[in-house]
Amino acid sequence: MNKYKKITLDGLIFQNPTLMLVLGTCPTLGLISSATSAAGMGLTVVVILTLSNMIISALKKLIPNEVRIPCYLVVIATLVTFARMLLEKFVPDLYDSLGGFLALIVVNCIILGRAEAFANKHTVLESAVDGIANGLGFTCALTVMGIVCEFLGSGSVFGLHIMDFAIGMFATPAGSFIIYGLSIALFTYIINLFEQKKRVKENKLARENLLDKEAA
Amino acid sequence: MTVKQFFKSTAFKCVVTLLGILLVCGVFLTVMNGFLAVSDGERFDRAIQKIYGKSVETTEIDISGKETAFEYSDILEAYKVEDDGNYLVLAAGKEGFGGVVECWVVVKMANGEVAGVDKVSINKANGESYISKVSQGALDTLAQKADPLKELEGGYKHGVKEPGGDYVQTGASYSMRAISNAVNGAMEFVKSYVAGGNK
Repeated sequence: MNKYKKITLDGLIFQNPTLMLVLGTCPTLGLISSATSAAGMGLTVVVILTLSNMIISALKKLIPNEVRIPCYLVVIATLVTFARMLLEKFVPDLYDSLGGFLALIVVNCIILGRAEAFANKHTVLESAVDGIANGLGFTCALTVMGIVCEFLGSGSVFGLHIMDFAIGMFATPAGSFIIYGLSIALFTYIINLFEQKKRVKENKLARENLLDKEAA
Repeated sequence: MTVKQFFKSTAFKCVVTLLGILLVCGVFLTVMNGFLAVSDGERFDRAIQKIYGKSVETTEIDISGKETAFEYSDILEAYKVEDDGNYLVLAAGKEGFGGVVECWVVVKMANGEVAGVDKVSINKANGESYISKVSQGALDTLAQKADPLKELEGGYKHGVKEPGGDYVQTGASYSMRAISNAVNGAMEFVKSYVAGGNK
């Protein structure tokens, strides 16, 4: 399989940071009660994750192993501060809605985790693809859960009122926790189903090859 | 360890690398701050736009020498809105979840007396993780009670220790408490300002 395709699929699906690795739980639980906030947070993480992966990958030979984590944190903190400045200047509403969670991106496990596990071992291009894929995986998961939570908790989607009936609990972190858990269960079930089908197909192919060899 | 050995050591390399990265990042952020910093004037224009949907004529009130520090809120700025005669007050409500919540409060005037709150808009809420849950609808509800003055003085007492009632409806009860403290502070300020013979 193409290297970049594998990196992309891993980030988006098979090692999805939110639903498979259960990373970045704090912003997930705090923000998915609103689809707009969830999508905004996700897109901010995409940009920061991609840039931090690229910078860390470019500097990997320069940074001594002993101080790699503080160096990564300085780079990530700088990017987060820069992103905060940009959002406050150009998208103040999103800046307000993300609140304290924007600053907390500095210590987001996904960003530090990808820097440590991937960016410092791969090329700049591969790290960029990994950053985009993981960031989009995080964004998609957050947005989908945000849509469900906002629909159930406020009867609206992306602020657009749909129905009058709403279950208030889903607008709180407790409701978000339930939706998060159910999403993980559903996602894992689908992935298992997919892998099971893949295994059956591979086994069938191997058996046919074996039979062909015996017949020959 | 000789001086030469020190300069060739990993420790020295680590310090230099870390300081180098810090310096580059610091310079980058300083330069960017120059371009992207949001000035107080810009923040004020945004608040006016958010509250009124258009630019309005205001006159700044000199708050020095007036009572601006209340037990549960501080008054930071105040303006008289010339278009409708109301007062626009920037108040910092204490007792939030992570600190203070700064709010713009439009104090409604009728016949030269405080008649309630017309609109509330959040200006700054550092440290309030759930501030996104406080929708404009919730703020409008807070402002547009049947009798806001009575409601705020009765139901939303200053610094209620245990949030309850309307506070919990948003899911950000502590932030709502800070907001209501800011609203109370703004109203008290305008009441004492008007009572002092100012119009």
